[in-house]
Amino acid sequence: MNAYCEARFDPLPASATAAELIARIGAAGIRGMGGGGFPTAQKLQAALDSRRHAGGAPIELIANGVACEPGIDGDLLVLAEHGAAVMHALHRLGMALAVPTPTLALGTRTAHLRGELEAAWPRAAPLKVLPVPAGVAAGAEPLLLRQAGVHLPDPNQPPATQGIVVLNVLTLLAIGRAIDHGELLTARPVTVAGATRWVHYGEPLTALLPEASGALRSGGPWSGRSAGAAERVDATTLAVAAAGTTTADPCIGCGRCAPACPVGLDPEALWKHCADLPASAVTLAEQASPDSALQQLASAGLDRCLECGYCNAVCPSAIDLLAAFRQASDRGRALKASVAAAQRSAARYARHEAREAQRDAARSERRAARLQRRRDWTASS
Amino acid sequence: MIPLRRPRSTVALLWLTTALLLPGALVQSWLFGGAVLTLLIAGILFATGAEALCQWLRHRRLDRRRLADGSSALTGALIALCLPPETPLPVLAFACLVGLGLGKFAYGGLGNNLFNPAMVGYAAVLISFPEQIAQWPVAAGEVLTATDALTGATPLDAFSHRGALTVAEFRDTAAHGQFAGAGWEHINLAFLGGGAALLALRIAHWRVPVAVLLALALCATLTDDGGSSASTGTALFHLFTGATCLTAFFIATDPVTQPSDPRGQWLFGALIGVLIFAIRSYGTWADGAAFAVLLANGATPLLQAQGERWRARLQALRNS
Repeated sequence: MNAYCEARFDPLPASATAAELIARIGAAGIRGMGGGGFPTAQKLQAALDSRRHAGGAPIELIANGVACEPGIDGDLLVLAEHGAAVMHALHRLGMALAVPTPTLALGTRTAHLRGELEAAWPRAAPLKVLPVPAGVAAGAEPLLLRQAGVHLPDPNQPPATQGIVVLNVLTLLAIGRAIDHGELLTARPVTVAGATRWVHYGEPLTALLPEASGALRSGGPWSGRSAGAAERVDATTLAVAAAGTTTADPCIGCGRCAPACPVGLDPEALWKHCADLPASAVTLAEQASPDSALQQLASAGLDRCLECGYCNAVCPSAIDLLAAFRQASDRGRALKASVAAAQRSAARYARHEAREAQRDAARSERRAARLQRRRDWTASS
Repeated sequence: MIPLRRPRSTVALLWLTTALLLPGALVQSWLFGGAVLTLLIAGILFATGAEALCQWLRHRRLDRRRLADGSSALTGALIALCLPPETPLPVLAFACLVGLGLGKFAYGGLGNNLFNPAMVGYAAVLISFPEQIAQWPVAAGEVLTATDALTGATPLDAFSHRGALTVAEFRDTAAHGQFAGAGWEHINLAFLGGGAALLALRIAHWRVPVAVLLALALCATLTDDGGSSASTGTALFHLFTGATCLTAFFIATDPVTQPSDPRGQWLFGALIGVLIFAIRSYGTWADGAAFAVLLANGATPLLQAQGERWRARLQALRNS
């Protein structure tokens, strides 16, 4: 595999602690390669911390090899060609984090590799293989956890903060290379127009598909988004293809998107709320009021959207619902951040006011005392 | 794995729906003469022209994609099939203009209208030009060729103005065919066939037509007393006379003007079925399909909200 550069670190011995492993994963710059791009070291650290809070409950570790979206084939490539290395990394990480039984989740497209992968697992160690049935976004974290029968105490918090770590098989391979060989992560498999190959980070997307004249799509055929002209390959580049040129028709309310949604949202209703989002900036108070389009979106369940893009795939009018949802989510996050910032500055101002008032009160008290003393002195003299 | 298959486009759905009107249209022209097809083509042309005019009035330019998307053609075809074959062309043009102008463009064009544009246009003509469209060719007793056709009332007209005849006696008149209105039973069967194809190809959802037919049949069965003079006709008579099948499969199934929630769709279809029966049996108009659809269209936001409320309650029950 020429995907990795020359060794940069010394290999970690088998006796390395979880803290050493996490430090190495952080130093190697590993981020989630299943599309999320979240720094892996932070995720593992959060899980370790949660174990401390929860009084030593064991961490659950799930390797995600479901590969649910057709047209994103990096997981298939890695499991077929480097399956043993993935299983080795899963085993090592599981040992270091004291996971009783690591789980390997396989989907319908990867199930045929089960025998090979199990053969690469140490005979004495326990392993749970979870076959995930076919389904839209079956490999998305919330649905995978439901399939695995994992109960999250707080569904609104990230699973890692509750001791549940889901890692994509590509991420596991990168972890294995970093701890066993001391290699930095500099490449990932990308499905370029249907064919999957290793591509170095930082390569411009346009260099992958020089023959494509128009805009490019980054990501799978369902969940992909249109890529900017200057975009480059990074941990979250799953696939690249030429973006189709479809013109959207108006929504005729056919209702095909609602039964298609794997988490039971009503994409049509969400999309209509998205259309109500004000184009220009409005005041924070207006945005945060319960009747604002953003709040309507939140109460219609936009937070639960997996961004799998299946609603786009079934829409006869070829409306890009997903792009609207992503934009609205971004605005929702930005609003939350600015509301928090406004609350912080309001609190700061309140503290400042209180201090001022206290100082004024002390000052006038002193002044009164001084005057009193002067009056006392005049009276006595 | 879910196969990655491009769904039929909205344009394809609209044109396929229009094409599936053909079996009914052909049977209608076989019974009433070639004027039916002339009117059908004129309706499509007038509606496209009306769409072009409205686009020009709104945007000062023509959107070719929207002109050819099949939605205005479908509206025109439906209006033409609702009107009798001898309808003067200006009346048809008026219906198309009102349907598209007031029924569709006043609301902002395709996808935004509250009422079915075809029914808006047809209802406008029904109220404005009752005399010009009162005369349908009679297909009495056996199926007639066009040369035998005489003009007169439709079986539903004859039924509601049957005078002293009991319903049992009405069955022996020329206006009654083998099991429903003379001639109209064949037309309805043809639209039923086209509608079945519409459902089989998954162009329209099955809930609304099934709800319309079930509700209408249920009302008729409950009030049918075997044929006294106060009787309202059998379920079979109501299902296969007048515009029942055309309405249930091609007009009520317009996705824009029906609720998108499945529970709302059941309510919507049932409301249309009940209203068709009520208007036919107790109203002034012999056939109430157009008004039934328009009234149910008006109730769509309410039915959608009710459907969603039930859905939320069901979900809460399931979660608890």
